[in-house]
Amino acid sequence: MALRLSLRIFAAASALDGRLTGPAVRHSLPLGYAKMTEILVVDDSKVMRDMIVACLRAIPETSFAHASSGLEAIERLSLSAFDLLVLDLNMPDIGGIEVLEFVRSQDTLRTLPVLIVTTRGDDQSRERVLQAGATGFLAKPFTPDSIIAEVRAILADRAEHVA
Amino acid sequence: MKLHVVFTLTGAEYALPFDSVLQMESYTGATLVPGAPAYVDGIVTVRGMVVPVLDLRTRFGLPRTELTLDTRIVVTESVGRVVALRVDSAREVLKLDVEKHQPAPSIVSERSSGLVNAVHPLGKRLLLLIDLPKLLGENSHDLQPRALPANDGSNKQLPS
Amino acid sequence: MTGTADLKEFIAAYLVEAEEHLAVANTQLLAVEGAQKNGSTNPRAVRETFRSLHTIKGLSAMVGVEPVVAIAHRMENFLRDSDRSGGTLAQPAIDALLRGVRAIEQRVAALARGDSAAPPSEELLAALDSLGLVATTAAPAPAAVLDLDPALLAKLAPFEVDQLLRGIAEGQRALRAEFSPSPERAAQGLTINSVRERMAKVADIVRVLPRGVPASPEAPGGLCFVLILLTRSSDELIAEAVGVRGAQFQSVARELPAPAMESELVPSIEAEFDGAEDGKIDTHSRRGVVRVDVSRLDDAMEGLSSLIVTRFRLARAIASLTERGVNTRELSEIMTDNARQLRDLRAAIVRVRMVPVSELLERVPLLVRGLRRATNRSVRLELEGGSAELDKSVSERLFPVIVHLVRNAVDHAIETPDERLRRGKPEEGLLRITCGARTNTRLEITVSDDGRGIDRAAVAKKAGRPSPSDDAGLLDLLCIPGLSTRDIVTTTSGRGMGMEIVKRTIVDELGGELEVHSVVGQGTTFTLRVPLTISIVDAFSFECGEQRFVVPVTMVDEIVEVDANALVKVPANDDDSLTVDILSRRGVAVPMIQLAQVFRLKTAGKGAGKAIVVRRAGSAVAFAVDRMLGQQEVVVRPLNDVLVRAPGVSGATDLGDGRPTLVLDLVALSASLSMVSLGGSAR
Repeated sequence: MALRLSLRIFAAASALDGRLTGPAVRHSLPLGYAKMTEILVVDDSKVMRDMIVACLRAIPETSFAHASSGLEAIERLSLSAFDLLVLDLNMPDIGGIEVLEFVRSQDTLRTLPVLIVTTRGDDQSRERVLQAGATGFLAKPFTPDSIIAEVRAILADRAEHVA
Repeated sequence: MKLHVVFTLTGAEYALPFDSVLQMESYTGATLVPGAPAYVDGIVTVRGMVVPVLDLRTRFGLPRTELTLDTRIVVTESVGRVVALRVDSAREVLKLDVEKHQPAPSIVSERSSGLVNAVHPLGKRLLLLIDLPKLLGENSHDLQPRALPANDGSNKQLPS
Repeated sequence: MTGTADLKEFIAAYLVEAEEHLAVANTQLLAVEGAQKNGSTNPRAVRETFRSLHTIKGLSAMVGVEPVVAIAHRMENFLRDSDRSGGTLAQPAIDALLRGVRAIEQRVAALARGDSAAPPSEELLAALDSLGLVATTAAPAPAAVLDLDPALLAKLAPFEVDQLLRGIAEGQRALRAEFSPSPERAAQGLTINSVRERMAKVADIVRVLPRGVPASPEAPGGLCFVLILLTRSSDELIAEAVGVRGAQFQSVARELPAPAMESELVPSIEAEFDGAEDGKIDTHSRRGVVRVDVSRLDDAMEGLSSLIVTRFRLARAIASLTERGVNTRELSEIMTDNARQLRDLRAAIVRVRMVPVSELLERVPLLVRGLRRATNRSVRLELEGGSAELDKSVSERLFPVIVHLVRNAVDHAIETPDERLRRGKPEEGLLRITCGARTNTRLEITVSDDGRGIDRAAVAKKAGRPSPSDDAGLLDLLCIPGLSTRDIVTTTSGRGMGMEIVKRTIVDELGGELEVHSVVGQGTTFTLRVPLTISIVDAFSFECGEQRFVVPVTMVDEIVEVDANALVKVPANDDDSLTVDILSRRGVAVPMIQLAQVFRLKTAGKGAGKAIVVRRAGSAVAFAVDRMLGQQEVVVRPLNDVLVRAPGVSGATDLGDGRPTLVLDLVALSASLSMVSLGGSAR
C-alpha cells in the first residue's frame, strides 16, 4: 500500500454572507507520515452505520466518525475536517438531499466527496442525487465489496485531484 | 358454635378449628428435605408459600402408609407458623358447639403425647380435638438438626 | 483489515433495531387511527410510520431477510404515496398496515428464536398492494403571516407552516432561536442533539434549519442552527435550553389580514424531488436511554459471578497465609473494600435490569384493539401506571399474565353491546388496568372490568365442586387446571388453562399474591401483587439420587468429572460413617463425598458422574452427584420453618414444575460434616 500524503489548504475566510468558513490553514504533514482517511458515516440506524464501518474497515488507514441525523452531520462537518461523507437519504429532521445541498453551498465543503446510500436504486433517483452534487451513489442493499469499490474509487479520484 | 375441619387418621376422626386452617389440598408427595425430622415428609408449595409437611401418623407413632387418592394435606396456621399436616382423608366441615367439648380421657391424652387435649361426642362419633399450638410449637423443643452419619452412628431411622 | 465483512453477524443488532421501529410504527398507526376517529388527521404520524418501514426495509435488505423486505416494501410505497397526497389513511388501510406490522413482528420474533422467517402470505401482499389513497383537502389557514427570512421559509413543508399557524391561532408564541456549535460548547455537552432534547421539554420544535454564517468567535464553525419553535414557555427557559442566557427571541408571527398562506411559499427543490424520502420530521425528544439486549446483562452478571468466585479464592489464599503467621491485615482490609465494591456492582447491574412498569402497559392498547375486532365488543381501555420499576425478568413473566387476564375480560366478561344496553349499562365496556407500587417492595396490578362478573355456582358446577363461599375459594376454583367456563373454545382465549398458569407464575414463581373480587352482573377485579425485585441467584442445577437440587454458582469452585478409576478410597474406621474418596485435582488431593450418601438418597451408581467442588476454611471438598443439568437463574425463597431447617439447605426454588426444589449451601453442609480433612484443618 503506497503511503498517501494529502495536503489541505483551506481558503482564507471570505466575507460573503452565508458561506461556511472553516479553519484557516491546514499545515502540510512531514514526509513519511500517512494521514488516516477520516470518514463520517451518517445514518439514523446504528446497525446500518455499524455495517458500513465493518465493510469499510477493509480499507487501510481509515478512521470513522458517526452521526445519526443530518443536523448532527452538519454540526460535525463544521467542527472537524473529513475526507469522505457517507450519507443516507432517509433521515429524520433534515433530509439527505438538504444536507448535500448545504454542503455544496459552503466553500470549505464544496469539494468534500459525498457518497449517497439509499434504498431507492432506480435511475431517476440516481440522476437526481448526482445532480444535487453527490460524488457517488449506492443503492441498498449493497454488498461489502461494492461499497469498498465505490469508496476506493472516490478516494483515488480525490487523491489525484489534490496531489 | 364454631366451624371445624374434620379429618381421619387410621379410622379415628379428628377436628381442628376452621379459622386455623388455610387450605386443604390433595397431596401427591413432598420434596424431601434431608436432615429434617422423621415425621417431616418434606416441603410443598401452597399458595405461593413453601410449607413443611408434617406426617401426623408418624408424629403420633402410627405406622406409615402409602399415599392414596384420599390423602390430604391440611394447611394450618398457628403461633406464627404455617405447617401442612398430612392426613388420611379430610372431607367434612362441621359446626361444633364448643360448650360440648370434653377433656380427653387420660389414656387418649397419654398415647398422643398430650397432642389430643379434648374430645367432642357427636352422636355415635367421637371427634378428637388437637392442641394445634402444642403440635406446632412443641416441635421447636425437641428439634435438633438431624445428625449426619459422620458425627455419630446412632441415626438409624430413615426419613422415608 | 483482513477479509470482507459478513453482514449476517449483524442479525442480532438488526433484530433489536427492527423491534424498535416496529414499536414506533404501531404507536404511530394507532395515533393516526385515534386522530381520525376524532375527525382530524395526523400527517406527521403517517410520515413517521413511513420512515420506520423504510428503515426496516433497508436494514432487512442488508442482512438478507427477504420475507420482511417484501412486506415492508409494499407498506413503505403505500405510505410514501399517502404522505405525498396529504397524509390521511382510510380505515381499511390502517387495518392492513397494522396487519403488515404484525406479520413483520412475527418474523422478527422467529429469527430471534433461531427459526427462519416464513414467506409472507399472498393474501397479505395482495391486500397491501391494493390499498387506495385518500386525498385530503387543506383546511383554511388562519389569518396570520409568518415573518421569516424567505430563504428559511421556503424550506418549511406545508404541514409545518400549518402547524405554526395553528399554534399561533391557539395562542402559542412562534419563535426563532439560534444555536451555533463550537468545540467549547461541545466540550460542555452542548451539541445540536442535546439542545434539541432540552428544547423539546419547553417547546414544540417545528423545524431546525442549518445556516452558514461568517466564522466568528461565537460561531467558529461558521454554522448556525435556526430553531423554529412554538411555545408557551418564557424566554428564559428557552435560553437555558439553548445554552445562552438572557437572549431575546424573535417572534416569527406577524398579525395581518392576509390571504391564504400558499401564495407566500416558494416551492423548493426538495418538494419536487421527493418530500417523503427526505423525511423532514423532527423526532420526539429522545429519552437518554440505551436499549440493551438482556443477554448482555446476563453476560455482565456472569462476569460478576466469576469475579465473586475469584474473590473467594483470594480470601482463602489470604486465610492460609494468615494461618502461616503472615501479617495479612492490609490485605484483609483491601478484601473488605473489594467485597463492598462487588456488592455495589451487583446492585448496579440489578438496577440496570429494572424496567419501568409503563413498558408492561404500553403493549396493552394494541392487544385490546385486536381483541375488540375479533370479538365484536366495544371496550374502552383505561390505563393508570405509576413510575415504579421492576426487574426485567419479573416484567417478562408478568406480561403473559396480563395478556391472559385482558383476553378473559374482553372475551368472557364484557358483554356484547346489545346485552349491555339491555342491562342498563353503557354500551362501551370498561377495562381498567392500574399498576402501582404498593409498598416499596411490592407492585400491585389490578385488572378490572365492568362485565358480567363470575357466576360462582356455574363455575363450581363445571368443576364438580361445591360452590365457594368466598373470593379466595372462587380463586382456587378458577385455577383448577383445564377448567373453562365456556363450552366453546374461543380463538382468543383458548381453553381456560390460563388461570392456572397465572396463579403458577404470580404465586409460585414470583412469590406474589393473587386475588379476585367479583360481583355477578357488575364486574370482576383481579389483583396481583408481585415483588419488585426478587432474590435471583445464578445457580447450577443437578440431579442426585433421583432428586433435583440447585447450588448457587458463586459458591462453587469448580465442577469436575469423576473418574472412578482414579479415586482412592479412604478406609473407614466406622461402618456408619461416610465413605470418603480422594480425588486428585491438579496434583492436590481433594476429599470427595457422595451427596446421595449424606442425604441418604438412592443413587444411580457410584463414580459415574460429576463432583461439585467447594471450599471451606481454606480447603476444598467435593460432593459427587449423578449428573449436572444446567445453569439458570432461579428465584430463591427462604425456608424459614424450624421443621425444615437442615444443614446444607438454604432455601427452595421452583424450576418450573410447580414443586419446590431445594437450594443447597454446600459450604455449610461440609462444615456440618465433621470430618478429618486431609488438608490438616482441625475438626
